[in-house]
Amino acid sequence: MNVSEWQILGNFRDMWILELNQIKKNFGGKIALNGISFGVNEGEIISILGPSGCGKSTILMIIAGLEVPDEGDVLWKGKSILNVPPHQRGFGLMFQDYALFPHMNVEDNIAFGLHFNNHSKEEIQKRVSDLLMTVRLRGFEQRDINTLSGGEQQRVALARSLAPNPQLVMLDEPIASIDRSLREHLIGEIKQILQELRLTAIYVTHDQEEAFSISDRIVLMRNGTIEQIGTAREIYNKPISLFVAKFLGFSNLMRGTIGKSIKKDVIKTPLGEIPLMEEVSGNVNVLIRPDRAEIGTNKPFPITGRIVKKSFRGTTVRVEMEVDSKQDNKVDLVFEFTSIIQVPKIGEQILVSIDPKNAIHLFPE
Amino acid sequence: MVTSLDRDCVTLNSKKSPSPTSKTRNSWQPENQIKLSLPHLQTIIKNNIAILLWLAPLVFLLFFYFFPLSKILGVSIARSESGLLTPFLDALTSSSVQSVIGFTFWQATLSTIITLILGIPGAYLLARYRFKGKSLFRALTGIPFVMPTLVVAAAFNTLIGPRGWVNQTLMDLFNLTLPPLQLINTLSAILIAHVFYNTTIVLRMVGDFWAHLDPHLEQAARTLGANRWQTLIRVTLPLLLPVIAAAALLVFIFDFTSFGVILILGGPKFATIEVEIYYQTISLFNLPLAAVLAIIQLLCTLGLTIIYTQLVARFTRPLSQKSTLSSQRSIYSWRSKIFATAFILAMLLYFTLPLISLAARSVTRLEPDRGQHQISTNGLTFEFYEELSINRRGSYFYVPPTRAILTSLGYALGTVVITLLLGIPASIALSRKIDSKLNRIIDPIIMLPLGTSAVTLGLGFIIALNHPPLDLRTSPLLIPIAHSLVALPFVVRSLSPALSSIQPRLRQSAAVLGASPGVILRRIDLPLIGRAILVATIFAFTISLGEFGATALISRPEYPTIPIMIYRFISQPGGINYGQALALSTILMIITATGMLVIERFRMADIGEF
Repeated sequence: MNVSEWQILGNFRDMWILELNQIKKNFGGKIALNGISFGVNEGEIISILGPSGCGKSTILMIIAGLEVPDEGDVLWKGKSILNVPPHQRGFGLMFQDYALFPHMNVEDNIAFGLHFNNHSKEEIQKRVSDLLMTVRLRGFEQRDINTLSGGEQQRVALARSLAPNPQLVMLDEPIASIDRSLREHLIGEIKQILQELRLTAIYVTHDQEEAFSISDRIVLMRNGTIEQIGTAREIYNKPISLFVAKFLGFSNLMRGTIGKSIKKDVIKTPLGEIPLMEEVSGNVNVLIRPDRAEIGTNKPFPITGRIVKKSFRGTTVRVEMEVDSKQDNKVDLVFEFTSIIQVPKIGEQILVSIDPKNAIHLFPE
Repeated sequence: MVTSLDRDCVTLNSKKSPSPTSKTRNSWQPENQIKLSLPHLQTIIKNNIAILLWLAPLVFLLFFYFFPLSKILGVSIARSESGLLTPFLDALTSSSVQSVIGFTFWQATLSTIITLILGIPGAYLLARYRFKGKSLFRALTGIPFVMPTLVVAAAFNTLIGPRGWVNQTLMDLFNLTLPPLQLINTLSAILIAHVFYNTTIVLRMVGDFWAHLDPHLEQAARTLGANRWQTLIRVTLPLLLPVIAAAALLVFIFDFTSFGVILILGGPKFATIEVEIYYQTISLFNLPLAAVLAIIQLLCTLGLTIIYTQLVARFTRPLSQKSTLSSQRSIYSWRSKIFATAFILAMLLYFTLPLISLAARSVTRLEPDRGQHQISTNGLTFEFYEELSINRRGSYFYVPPTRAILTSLGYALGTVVITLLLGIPASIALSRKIDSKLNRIIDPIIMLPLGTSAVTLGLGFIIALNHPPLDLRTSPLLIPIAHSLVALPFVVRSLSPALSSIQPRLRQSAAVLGASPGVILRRIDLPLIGRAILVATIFAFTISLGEFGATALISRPEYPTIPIMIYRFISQPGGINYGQALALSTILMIITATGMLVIERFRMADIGEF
């Protein structure tokens, strides 16, 4: 589902708990956001995914009320909240650098947001120790913030943003500054905590694997605009643009032209003429999915080449091959096969085949 | 904890700003030398190179700082017959001394509070916002701090004095015969000048710290339910508190030992301890009381300095430092724009108007000429400048101001030479191994003269250096030496961060390429610290040109410096004398302001204490 289709669903707006409507924001003449619209369901975890500098964090700042959009509106349960100051919005925001207060210990950091609601001392203490339990940091109350490891700080920051029972939690690259080896574990933990508490959450990241593993839906951004909205599966299986395909790391990209051959429509590519399955015309960028090829000739479109490189990746094996082009240069292609299959040696010929129906995406230029 | 995070610390006080690689710093010499003709001697030199480097500065301080101070102490207790403490107790119980001490604290406290009230909002503006002309504004705010006290006093005199612009205008407008604004010789004049002087300290120290304070901390507080006010009280101020306290203490110390401002703008009614020491020495020749007062003042400033150092060490607490790119924003709303513009304009007026008024007044004739009682036409005149080189009295004792200018320039050059000769080895020693035990002990010692008032230094010279073995009364070096004591801490603080910033890798790779330590110093270190040396030179030069407190006590009548000359002219009646004081002040102001702007241009970003 792309942006325009999404807007057709305007009739269903009432179901969004949070809705952004044509948000625009400039910073000193530089466009940060250029017409951002999307909605969030109650209890949903939505990711905002995109390369750094595309405006992801600015969206969070605007939702939190820390930045004011130049144009557009932010609706919460159908009502504009642009005039509500940040401290009255009741949203939690966890910063990428955690922004833990260095002059307070763990307990005071987590309890900070509880001081503005007439909680009793006992209530606050109880809440802090419950939260420390939730983030698996029991007994850390009196620890100095500055002596915590990155992972511990991250969990204190999460606990702090959850403490005032926010109606919406926003997490800005929460694990970006943590060792790679710990990330997968922490992402699982965050997801579990968010789901246990049935929280509505917006998760900002530049890492597609993170986005894929944590979120119900993904908003994929580029340069201040939304490129594609959908579930991880939707986006992965049907990238809507060349940018999305490249961002997801698909590499078999080449140019092609739609033309007629004998009586059928075909895509003329360096690999030859591939049968056309969609209704497009003119020049296109062609993506051949690396994950949809088979060794042998079982599928309609065969490709032969020479193996240049082979790398074993556990469940899959990645093969780089060189194909003699029908035009001038050689074409390099990458495919992944399950590692059970025997692949010829480096330097040997290999014959693979694909089904243009599901292995080819076309992006009109 | 602190050392491992030093990299991220705020180091306004660069005393503790080693780069994280400081451990490897002095390993540029090959560890295993194959040819060791005199292995023993080489090891000794290598191990003691720091001591050798420190030798000259320490000997200098021993003779010209500790020896005079010990003499002051000696004089203060010399005449006591019943116990060492009696002279101090006598002084402290005398009501006149009590009122002097009381006034010193009172005016310093008031000045500090007003400075903070003006400085903190200014620091906020500088820290959190980007606006047009900000770097110019920043540079301009730096000028008052380095202005010689005599210039500032003269400047305020031309603005709000009895013959100042404000009074002249009011008298012309309303046909008054007497100046309506009587500010000179009041506490207000003192406070106005002190705030003028020291607001820069708050702007710089608090502003720089604030600018690098992660705005996410405040934003996090806002999303957690704290309103603006609660965020300020619970997050921003607690984080700023150490730096605000440190700035306040520094301002307080400066106000506490203020001399020229009190002497000229306060008039005979007001005396701080510093001014009283001067009166007791120069007018009453009561050296024992002067010495007692000097010791009392020294103890106060020493105590305050120790607290200051502790505070500075505390605000090097690990805080995540943000680039100002992410923490500063433009001013959006109209209300903030109007407020900010008004505030900045008011500050600019405050900081520049007295100086502009001084320059303007120095070329304006408002009074009848000497000996002519008819009213002359007002207008532009360079008479005061021309008058500087004319000896109207034909007196043998008369010193032409041009000679004062030449004398001052000579002293300033001498000061530059002495401070560089002492400061460069000291800075090299400091930057080699910043955390070595030796450096930790010696570094604060080098800084000591900074916490000692200028008049005390002068008094020490009078008492200690006027008879053998150190009879320097007639030596032309006496004043440069005194100025060097004042300037040395500034010079070392300008040089050592630059030296520390040179990556040990550079030295190592030069050594691997075959450069000897001498070549490394000449080809790597010196070119790289060229800018720092320029900054240090300008500091030493301008400090010497403007120094008044110590000079007032030790300068010889026939060789006055520019500030002494200004003081003489300003204390004498008559329009021509007043005009010449203004002309000299303007010359001094222009030299100092130019120097400061050059420093602003060349100093390394965010390095250095001053």
